[in-house]
Amino acid sequence: MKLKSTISHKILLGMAVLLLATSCTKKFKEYNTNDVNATDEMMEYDFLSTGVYFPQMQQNIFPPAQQPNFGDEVYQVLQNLAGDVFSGYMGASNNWYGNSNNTTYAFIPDWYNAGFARAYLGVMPAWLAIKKKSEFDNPHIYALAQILKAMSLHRTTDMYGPLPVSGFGSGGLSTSYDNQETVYDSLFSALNYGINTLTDYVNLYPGQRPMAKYDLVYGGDYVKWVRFANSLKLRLAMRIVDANAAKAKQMAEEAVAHPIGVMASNADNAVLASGNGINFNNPLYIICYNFDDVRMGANMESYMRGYNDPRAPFMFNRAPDGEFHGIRNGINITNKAAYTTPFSTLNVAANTPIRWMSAAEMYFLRAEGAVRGWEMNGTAQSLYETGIRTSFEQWNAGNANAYIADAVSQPAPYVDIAASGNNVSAGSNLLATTTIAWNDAASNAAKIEKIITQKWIAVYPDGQEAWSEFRRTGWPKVFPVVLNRSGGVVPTENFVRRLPFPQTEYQSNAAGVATGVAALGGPDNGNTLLWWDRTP
Amino acid sequence: MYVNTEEQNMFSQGQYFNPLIPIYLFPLSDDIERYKVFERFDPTRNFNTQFWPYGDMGFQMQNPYWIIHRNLFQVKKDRFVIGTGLKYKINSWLDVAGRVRLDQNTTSGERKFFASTSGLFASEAGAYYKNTAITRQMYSDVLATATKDLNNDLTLSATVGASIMDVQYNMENYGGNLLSVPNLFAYQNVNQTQATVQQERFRDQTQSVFGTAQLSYRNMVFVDVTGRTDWSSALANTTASSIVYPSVGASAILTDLLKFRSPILSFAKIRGTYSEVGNAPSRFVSIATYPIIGGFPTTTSYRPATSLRPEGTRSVELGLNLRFLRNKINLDVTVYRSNTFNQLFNPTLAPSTGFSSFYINAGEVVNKGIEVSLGGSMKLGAVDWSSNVTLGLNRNRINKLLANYKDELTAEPISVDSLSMGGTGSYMMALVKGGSMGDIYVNSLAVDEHGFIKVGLVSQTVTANSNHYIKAGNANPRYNLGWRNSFRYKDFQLDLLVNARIGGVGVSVTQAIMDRFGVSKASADARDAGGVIINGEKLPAQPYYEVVGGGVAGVGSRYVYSASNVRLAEASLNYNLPQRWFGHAVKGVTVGVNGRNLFLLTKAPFDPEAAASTGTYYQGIDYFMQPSLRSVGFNVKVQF
Repeated sequence: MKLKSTISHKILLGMAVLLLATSCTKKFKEYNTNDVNATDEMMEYDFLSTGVYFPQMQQNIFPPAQQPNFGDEVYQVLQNLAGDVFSGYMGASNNWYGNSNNTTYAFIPDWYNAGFARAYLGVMPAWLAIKKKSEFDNPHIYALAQILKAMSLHRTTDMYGPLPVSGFGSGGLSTSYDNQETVYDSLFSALNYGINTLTDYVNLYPGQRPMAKYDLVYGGDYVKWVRFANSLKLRLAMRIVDANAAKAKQMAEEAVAHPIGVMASNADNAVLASGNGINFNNPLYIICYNFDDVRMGANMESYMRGYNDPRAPFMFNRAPDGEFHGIRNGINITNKAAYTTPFSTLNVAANTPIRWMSAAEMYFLRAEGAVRGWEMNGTAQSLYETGIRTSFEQWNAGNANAYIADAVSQPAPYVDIAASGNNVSAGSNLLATTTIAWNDAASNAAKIEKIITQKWIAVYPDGQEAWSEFRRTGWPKVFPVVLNRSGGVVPTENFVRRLPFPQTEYQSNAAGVATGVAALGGPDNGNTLLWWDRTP
Repeated sequence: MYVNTEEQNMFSQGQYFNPLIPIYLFPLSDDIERYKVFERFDPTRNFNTQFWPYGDMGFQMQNPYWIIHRNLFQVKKDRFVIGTGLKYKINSWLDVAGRVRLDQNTTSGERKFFASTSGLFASEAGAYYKNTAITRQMYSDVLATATKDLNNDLTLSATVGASIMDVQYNMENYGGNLLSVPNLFAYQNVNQTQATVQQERFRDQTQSVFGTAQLSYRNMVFVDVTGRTDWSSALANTTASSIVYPSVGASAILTDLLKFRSPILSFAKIRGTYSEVGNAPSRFVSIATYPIIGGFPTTTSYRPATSLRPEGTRSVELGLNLRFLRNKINLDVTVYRSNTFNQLFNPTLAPSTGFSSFYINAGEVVNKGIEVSLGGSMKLGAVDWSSNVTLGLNRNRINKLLANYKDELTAEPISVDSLSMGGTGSYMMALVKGGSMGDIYVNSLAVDEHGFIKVGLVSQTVTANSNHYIKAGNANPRYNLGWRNSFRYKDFQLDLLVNARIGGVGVSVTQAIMDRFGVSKASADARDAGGVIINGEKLPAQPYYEVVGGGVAGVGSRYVYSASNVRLAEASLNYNLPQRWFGHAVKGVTVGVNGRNLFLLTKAPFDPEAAASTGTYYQGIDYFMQPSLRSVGFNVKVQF
């Protein structure tokens, strides 16, 4: 008994010592640090914090699919169920919420929140982090971030209109919005900063690629980034032509006249591709093949079929019956299966790079500028035809001469092989009558319709850009929705003009979004025109 | 101790992998029996694949039988608990004790999605994921306890001690779509370029010293004092390195102390305590780190918090326990009030701030309430009857949210009277100054300038005002009532428990979507009645439900239900078999039947008790929630 109590005495003493020995709080900071993440200290190794956020910025502009993280849904709701269908490029084969969804103008908050969220939770925090580190020490790094910011925010402002730009990152819990004209001004100045700073850099240090490790688009080639920034500047200039013609002309001519200039060949095209250890899927592949949620659009079918477009099989796959069949948007789908198998899938593979911008678009922008009498370094006809050739070359679609010379073919009537109620028959005024061949004697309006129609084909699959240009010009003739579930808010003949401000902003930034609604100058719904969306 | 648990497909609600969605929304014109043979031979693939010609209907629907049998979520848990304690008596009034307890839990979860599962979740060959999490929890303390009679009347007992709690967690997760062989669930068959690879780990440690002292006077009056200090690893990089919290309490048995014990009042005791409790913030939030996504670091999604403080609660509680008629009737009343300061909130931020949420110590929340229990027993002829009624009532008020909080980025003062805690589109939980925790907000229909619901002249239907949120009520009840009765007659015993929860609201997305699909009774009634009554006039039913019945994209204000309910929560009938049947070896045998959740009265289209998540904020919403279960059992009890 005595022995036992001595042993227990010692064990107890041992436990007390153990307790005291471990009673040290020195390691608490280590315990309280999430050690699967990088710390502030690590972010300075290899000067990571200066450039490592570029992959984040680039992957939030056109969000790629990183199966199986359900990342694909972001692109789907951000672009595929918005611009991609509103532009007539693609048709939705599913019937979310009993056919009351974006495609029928009953806008789904979780969907139209996405574009805003990717810009403000994905791109802009990375932009701010790079700005803080590099604006004064490494202006060339900040310049690249400025170009990417412009790429991201022009897409975002073209969805919603006013955006919180000048107040972003100033702290606080509420951010006020700028009107769209101010947003565009800030995008032009971001691009000018990028163009000037990087032009200086490449003149001083030719061939240097300091950001090669983090750049999934051009591998750090700053010359190509200057060309990209000029191209984006030209795109934005044309967008505001009806709102501020003088500024549009000035910006467009500056971009074209710049020594590095705008994209001129397909080697200049911007695509986001897997690389540098980052591996992702093309989201359109996942949406079309895994989700079975999207197919060729009815308008694409009408134009491709009518024009006998040799690019068609490179963009879409033939349906089981050997033909191209597109789906019209805003229709009543009772059975998804009726709209999947019989219709044309997209010709895209899991590893197809995601296209941001191509040279063909620049020729069409310059052609339109030439029609408007701007100095675009070429005649409207030559630029228009070079645009078509450049697009053919981009798609590997062979010689474009016969296509360019075709003055007869017109967009074809549309037949919905699953439900004839959605057909657009021959002679309908929903069908465009414009042809391909240039006619120098035609009116400016007719010339612009041709240019925008061909640009629409060339810009595929970026439906966001195509929807914006459709809103600006009214071309090409997109088929109106058959089923309109907006409750009278968006009249069918008006087409959708914008997306409502995100519900998340109403929930957490009510004061800020109120300034956005005021700057919008109309009710916050899909029928209010954006600043640049006006008849001249 | 060793515990082994296996679970499969344990789900409560939600959209993915929920067999209730295809069942509830199933077209009334079709026959679900046809889909029981959920997989059929597919000649193009040469094995059986899912039979579900409806597609996903935009709701990720699959054949419900397929979901149950071919989308497998299997969880296995292995848990070991080892503990030991020693006590050493130093002398007659002092002893020292020590304890160690180690609790190790290994959870391994596998997800197996068979080939032909919806493309949202799997490739053509299927998908496979496995995660393993090991939690190791160690607790140890030493206590010195002294008990000494100071004189004939006073006894002091005191304890001082120290403890350590250490929790380590390690989780790894790997998986993805299968690449080539259908339904071969192994890492080797996973498409490596699309795989998910993830680790999570943490270590939490809290070290404490504490002391308590109790002074008692003739076992009639007791005074308690405690004090405690915690050093917690989650406090690292906050404004505090430790949390100190005391409590004092006193109780007195009045009937003994004042000697007024009588046949009517047989016992009376009062008690009162004041206590403070402190809590460390969540781990990791005070030290900003950069998550690696796709192999590269990304910015933090929450606003870094550099001046977090521990949260504190001060509460006062008073109690009275009375017994009457020679202890036949027992009344127990407790009233309390607690104030919580510096509560750690993680509200959703507007994306335009660049952050999705932030952590903040804010506000002052007051809880006050009363709990009453009244019981008694008596003989009703040959029947022994005992009965007990309980009442619980709690009121909660957010007195303050953010008042002149100094923004860490701008140094500007911020005052906020409302914080969104997130939700779905049509439903949101928000904290509002003057409101309560658990307040539910819903979006609503557009109204005209006179407050009438706006009806389109041409469309003849309503429009949603999706961003206009109105308060629907609170997820918590106004009060809870319980009434337990036991009757004993000879060898029979009948026990009944009725529970009532009065007040509170819930939102049913299930009902909204079923209305939208036209498969609910409400939608059939509206069709038969020729429409839905809005502003006293009939509107066509289908367009109305197309607007309001979108579920998360619909109109929440049309789907708010009272969560009041009354239920027969438990009932049992037992019979003691005659002793003479068994002899001496067995002391008694009881057989009986019992039932739980036998009968429910509520106006809500779901069980309001089940519509609660385990978290604080996602409360009172039904999204195709599993119905609550009624259980009936039979029991035999043998005593030796």
